[in-house]
Amino acid sequence: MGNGLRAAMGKSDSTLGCQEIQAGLPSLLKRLWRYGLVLSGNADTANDLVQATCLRALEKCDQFEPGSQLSRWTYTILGSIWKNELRSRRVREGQGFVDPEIALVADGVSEMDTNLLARQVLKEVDRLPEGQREAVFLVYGEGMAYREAAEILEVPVGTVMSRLAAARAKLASLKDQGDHLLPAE
Amino acid sequence: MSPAYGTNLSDEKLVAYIDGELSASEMESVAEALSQNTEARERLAVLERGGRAFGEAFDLLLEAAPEDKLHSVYAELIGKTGTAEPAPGAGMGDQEGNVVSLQPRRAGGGTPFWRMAAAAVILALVFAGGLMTGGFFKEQGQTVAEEPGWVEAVAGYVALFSEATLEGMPSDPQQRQANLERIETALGLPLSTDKITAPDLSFRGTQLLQLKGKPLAQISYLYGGKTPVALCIIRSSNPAAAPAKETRHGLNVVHWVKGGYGYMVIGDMPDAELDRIAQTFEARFS
Repeated sequence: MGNGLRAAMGKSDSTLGCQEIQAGLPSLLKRLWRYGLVLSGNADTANDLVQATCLRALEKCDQFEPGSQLSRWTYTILGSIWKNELRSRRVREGQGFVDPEIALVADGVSEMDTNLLARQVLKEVDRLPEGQREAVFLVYGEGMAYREAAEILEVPVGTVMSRLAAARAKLASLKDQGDHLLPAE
Repeated sequence: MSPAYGTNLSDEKLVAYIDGELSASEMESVAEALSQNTEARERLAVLERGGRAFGEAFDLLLEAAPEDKLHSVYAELIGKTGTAEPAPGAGMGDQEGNVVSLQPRRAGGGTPFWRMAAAAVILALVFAGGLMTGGFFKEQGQTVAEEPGWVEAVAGYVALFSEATLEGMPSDPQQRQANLERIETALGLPLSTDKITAPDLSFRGTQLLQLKGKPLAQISYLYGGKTPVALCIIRSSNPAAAPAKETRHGLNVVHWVKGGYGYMVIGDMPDAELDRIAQTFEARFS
């Protein structure tokens, strides 16, 4: 990165890791927000989580190993802020992440039909317990390997596996119950 | 669930099999076990039914992300790293109790600033909630009173610029100087090379344009060797307005009014970088 960034970080912090973080965070903001939304079920809380995560990442930038995956590192931070500092006081006060405000505004009216299935999937995922929801998101949504998800969640790989298995069993039973879940709107 | 179906095939193992997360030899042995056990095959089918088009579904959420807001919040955080230092008691609890609002200050604060800012934000999250506002940039929607339409007019024009456009500008120092003096005279605003250069921007030249009969100066740069960026200045009788940012014609724009002139920095470059450059120019022209 250029002199500007170095200057912006100030001399004492101008390690490679810090520069990499400052340059890399902008492209991760949307993904971080999505993770925050999946965890909290609330768009405002997701905004707050992104902000707090960026601050924490910048604060601890000297601990980031240059060249390693910034997304994983920041996901871990976001998850830990949620679990350790926010979750207990903001217990999914939201309506879930498929609140019409979010899903519909994003779709646009004309795309509602094509997105119907995707929104249905979100509704189903939203009903899963947090641990399962999070594992499903990281592995199936973000395409991470079990091991990577386990590192972010700070749980053993076996736990990721059992959460995914439970989530699949639950989703299968929803499908077996037929189409009653299809939204009436 | 942990049924063995007379085999060692737990749900976990079957899901790992579906997801291709087993070693080659394990995949083989699961396949072998499945071939010999109807119950296990049925269970596998159930777990497969529990799959969905997760990727597409989660992509919807990505589209729903408030991108502009996230970037402006981030720009604000970054903007403070170089210019802010901890001021005792400052910024905690103002802005309706939501978020740190450290006034930009000179000289670099390091870790103490971050510790404090992070702590303040966490506090704000826990006790207040809601969105942050304030700081260097106004929220979008708080319109800045300035020459009507000039942001749009300039953005539409600059959007047509390419690297090649700027290559066509004169590189002869004397001619550049003469052009600079022309816009100086037209605007009635003292300009010098020092004032219009900035780190990371390679100066390419100046042009005198006009909008509704008013002279409009455009100072052009290349950012990163290939991205056209412009600083535009127009005389304005409007009251001073703090920098505001928006996106027009796919370009990021920061514009403000100060001392009888409207200013704008515009280009297809990362938010944070543009913000930093805008702050540099904003401080230069009083």
